[in-house]
Amino acid sequence: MSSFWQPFILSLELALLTTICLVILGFVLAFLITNYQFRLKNLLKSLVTLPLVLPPSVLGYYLLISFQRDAFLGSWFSMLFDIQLAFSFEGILLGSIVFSLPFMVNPIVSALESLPSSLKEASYTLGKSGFTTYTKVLLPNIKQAIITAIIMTFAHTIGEFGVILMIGGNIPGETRVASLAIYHELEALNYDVADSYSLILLIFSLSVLLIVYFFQKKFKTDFT
Amino acid sequence: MIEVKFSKSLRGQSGRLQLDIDLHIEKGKFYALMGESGAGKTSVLKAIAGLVRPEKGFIRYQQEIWYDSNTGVFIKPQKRKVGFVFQDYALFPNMSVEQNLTYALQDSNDKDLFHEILELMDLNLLVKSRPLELSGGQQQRVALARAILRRPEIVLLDEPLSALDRKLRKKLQNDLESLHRHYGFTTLMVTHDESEVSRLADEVFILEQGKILKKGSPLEILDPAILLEEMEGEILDISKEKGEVTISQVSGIFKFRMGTKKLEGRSIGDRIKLSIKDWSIDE
Repeated sequence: MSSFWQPFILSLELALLTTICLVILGFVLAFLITNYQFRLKNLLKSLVTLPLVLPPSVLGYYLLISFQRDAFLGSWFSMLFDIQLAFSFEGILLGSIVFSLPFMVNPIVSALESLPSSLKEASYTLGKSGFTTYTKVLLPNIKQAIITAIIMTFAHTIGEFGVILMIGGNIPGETRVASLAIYHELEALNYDVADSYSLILLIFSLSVLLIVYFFQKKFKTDFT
Repeated sequence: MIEVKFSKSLRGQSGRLQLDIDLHIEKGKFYALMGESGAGKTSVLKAIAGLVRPEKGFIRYQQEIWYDSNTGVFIKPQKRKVGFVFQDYALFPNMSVEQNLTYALQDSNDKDLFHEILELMDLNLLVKSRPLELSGGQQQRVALARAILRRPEIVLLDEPLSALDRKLRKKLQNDLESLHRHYGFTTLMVTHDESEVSRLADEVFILEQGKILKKGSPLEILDPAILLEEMEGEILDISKEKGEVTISQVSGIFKFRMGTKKLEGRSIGDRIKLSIKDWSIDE
C-alpha cells in the first residue's frame, strides 16, 4: 500500500467501524430516550449532545485521562481485552464513537419524536411489545433520518481532527488519519501532498452532502 | 360490564383540565361520547385502552382489574381486550393493507377471520396497496378491520368518520353498525356528529370540562329534530318526556328511525303518533 493512501485507508476503517458501532448504540439509545420516562433522561440526552458543543480539545483531554492504564476505562480495557487505549487505533475508535454519538442519535430521536404518537399507540393496542413496535413500525418509517444519520456520522468521523490528535497522537499506520496527515504534511512544509489530501477530503465531503440531499428527496414522500 | 371511574389532570393548549370520569358501560351496547373540543374525550378512550395512566380511581372489565390506583395495578394496552381506531387511522405507512391487517392477527388460526373481514369490509382489491395510496374512506375501513382482527371485547373509536364527506360517512356508519352487531363487541365512539349518534348509539355520554354532565338515550339527550332527520312527513309535535312524536301523513308512508330501531308502514290517517318508548304506533 502506498504511504500516500494509508491515512485515507485508516480514516475509512475508522469511519466504517465507528458507524457500525454507532448504528447499534444509536438505535438502543434512541429507543431508551423515546420509549421510557426516567429521572435521568435529560442528563442522558445532554451527555449524548455534549460532544457537539464541547471543544474537541476538552473532550480529547478527558478521554486521554480516562484511557490511562491507572484510570477506570484504561485499566478495564487492559484487563479484559489486553488493549492499551491511549495512542492506539482502538483508542481513537472509542473516541470517535463518543465524538460522533450526537450525529447518529439526535436525528433518529428527532425523527421518532416527529412521528404521530398514534402509530406507536396503534401497535400497542394491537398487542405488540415496545421492541416489536420499534423495529417493525417506527424505525421503518424514519428511513430517511437513519440514512442521513449514517452518512453524516461516517463523514463526520472522516473529518475528525482534534480528538484524534489528543488521544491518538500522530502515529503513521496506527492513528495518523487523513485529517491528521494534512496537518503533518503542512508542518513538514510538503504543500503539494497537503494540497492533494485537502482536495480529496473536500471532494469527499461535498459528495457526502450531495448523497444526503439525494436521499432526503428520494424518501420525502414516504411519510406525510 | 366495564366500570370506569378515574381522575387525571391534563395539560392542554388552553391550560389545565381536571378529568373526573365515572362511566358504566354494558356489554354489547353502542355508546357515543360527545363534548366540545378539549373536553377530554380522547383521553377517556386512551385511559380505557391503557395508553394513558390515570392518577386515581379504577378501570374494571368484568372481573378483570385493568387499573387500580389503590393496589397499583396497571394492565398494559397489549393485554387489554381493546380495539382502537384513531382519528388519523394510524395505518403503518411502511406496510401494505395486507401487512397492516396481518400485523393485528394474534395467531395463524385467525386466518379465517382475516378473510371474513376482508370480505365484509370489501377490502379484497386493496390488499397490495399502501395506506398513502388509499382514499380517506378506504383508510378508515382498513383501520376498522385492523382493530377488529385483534378480536376485541371493546372497540374504541376516536372520531373515525370526522374527516369523511357526508355520503361516505353514511356508508361507513352502516359498516360500523353491521360490524358492531355481527361481532357483538361493545363500542364507545367519540363524535361531534349528532346524526351519527342518533343513528348508531344506544346511549350517549356528554362530557364537559372533564366531567360527564349527562347520560341517556339519544332521545333523552339530543335535539329531537336531529333524531327525526330520516323521517318522512312533517313533525307536528314532540314530547321528550313522554317519548312521543306526532307526525303528519303527507305521502301516506311513514318512516322513523333511531339507532337500530325502525318504525315504518303505510297509514290512511292524516296524522300518527309514534310512541318511541315502547316502539308502537297510535294512528
